[in-house]
Amino acid sequence: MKDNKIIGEIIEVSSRSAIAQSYELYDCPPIGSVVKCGDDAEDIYGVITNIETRSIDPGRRPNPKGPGFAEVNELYKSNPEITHLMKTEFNIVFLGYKNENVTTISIPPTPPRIFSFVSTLPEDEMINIFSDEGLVKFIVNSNMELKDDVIIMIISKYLNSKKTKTEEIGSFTSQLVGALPDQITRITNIIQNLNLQEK
Amino acid sequence: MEIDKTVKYISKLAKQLKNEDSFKSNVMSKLKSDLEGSINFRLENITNEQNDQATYADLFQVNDAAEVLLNNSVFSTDGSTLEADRDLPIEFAAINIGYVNINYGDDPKAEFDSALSFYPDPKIQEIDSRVLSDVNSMSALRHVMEMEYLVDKMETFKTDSIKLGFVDGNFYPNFALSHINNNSLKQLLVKRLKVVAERVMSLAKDNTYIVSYNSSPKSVHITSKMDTKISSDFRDSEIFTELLEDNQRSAVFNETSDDTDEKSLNPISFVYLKNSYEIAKVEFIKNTINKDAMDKIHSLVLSQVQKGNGYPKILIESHEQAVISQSDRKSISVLTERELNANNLKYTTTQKYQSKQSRNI
Repeated sequence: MKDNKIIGEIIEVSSRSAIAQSYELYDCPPIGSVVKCGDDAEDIYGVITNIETRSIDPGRRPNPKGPGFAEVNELYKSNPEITHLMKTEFNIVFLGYKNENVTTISIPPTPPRIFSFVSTLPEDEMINIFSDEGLVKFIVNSNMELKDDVIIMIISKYLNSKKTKTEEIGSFTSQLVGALPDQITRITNIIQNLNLQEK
Repeated sequence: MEIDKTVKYISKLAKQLKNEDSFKSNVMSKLKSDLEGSINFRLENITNEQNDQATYADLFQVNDAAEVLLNNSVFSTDGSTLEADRDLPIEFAAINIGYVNINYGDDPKAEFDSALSFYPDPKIQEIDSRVLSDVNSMSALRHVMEMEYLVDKMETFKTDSIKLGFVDGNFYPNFALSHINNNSLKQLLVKRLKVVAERVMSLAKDNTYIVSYNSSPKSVHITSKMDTKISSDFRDSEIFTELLEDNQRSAVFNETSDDTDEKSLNPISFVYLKNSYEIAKVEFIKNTINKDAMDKIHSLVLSQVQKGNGYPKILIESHEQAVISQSDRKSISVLTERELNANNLKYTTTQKYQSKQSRNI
């Protein structure tokens, strides 16, 4: 997904999190991706922790379209209205914000406004956020759903953007040890489940 | 409410219906042989596809659909009315027309749209405040608007494949039109229908057709003209359930209407079509659809019914697009109250309305 691309808008928001709806069905970065909730005053960063696709009308549940299709794509092609009748929503848990060029890892003092744009994050901004040692501790102490899975995905995504990973893994391990004292099994589980790809 | 009493009443009706059903089954079991016995019996005021006097022989004519058409475009409009609220100091009504187009085949895509209109409209003098609370006037107006919007959209849609527009129910709003007391409004609507009918006829020359689809119709157009010994209060759909196999359609029949206003409209033809769920009546303007085109339309209708699990998918979606939901209605009521108050027009709903909302003991 292209960086800095506006992918949707916030449709529900509170101090810690928001729900956004993507403009296109399924057009949402994967869980663990860091996104930017643009507001005129400041940029607010958040991580995608959950993705849901369902009917635009809560009173109309989808019915199976088959049997009779060999592939799902064929099913979609035969029912072109589907993309108009379904919506993809995703949950964003706030990680930090940037005000006057200073990035702070914390919930934003005021949450973004309803209908604020949500966009993908350019790599330099992602590196900037991950360079803050408070990030891992903040995530670990947050009450986001699927916490460890999100930690695994978020760290994997960041590391996969780097050429060399060994040093960075060490740094994250130290941060996890600091954030999760006496939870060596949990830390081992997180590190072992990182999905790292050679660049 | 006394539920026991209601259950007893419904049970009595059900038993009565069972007796009627058993009588009907008896008549139906010998329907074909009875019809064959008087094959030249004339169905008065109905003509067949050749414009000749229709007889029982035409009832036996069946047609099959063309093979499945890969590339096709279907269209539909449907409307929803927000009735004028007599409790409000400002009286207005709204009509929302929902539109859907689905294109199948090599370039699959869909378009959803809607158009909202408010009445009274200073540009249409015939629609005054008395019309707003008349169900038949608003229903006929809505039907005319559905057809106009459908034709507007289909005229601008360019594709080489066959295009089929669906109207819900009857092609013309005959019932509602015949119950309008306001003559100038009636004339206006008939005039608008004539214009839209001309446009439908023009579209038909370009592989673009508009039909109406009536699910399990109560029509007795044919049975009312049959020998009373055979028809005995049957609906047309009951006769064709017996005469048609699944996925077959009847011959084309042409209506002649007795109503003066409807008579001035372009005459309507119709076929009965049996899908695997029910009988449907498909109406269209006479001479706009020949047999080849009807074979293709038949195929598209069956495909739409299949996709909609019994009812054309395109009609389901245009209905959904049109609906003014209960929550929309509530919002409009709140907004109206807010606007009135913002303009220092002190307004609250009637005490009767408020008492129904609170329902205190």
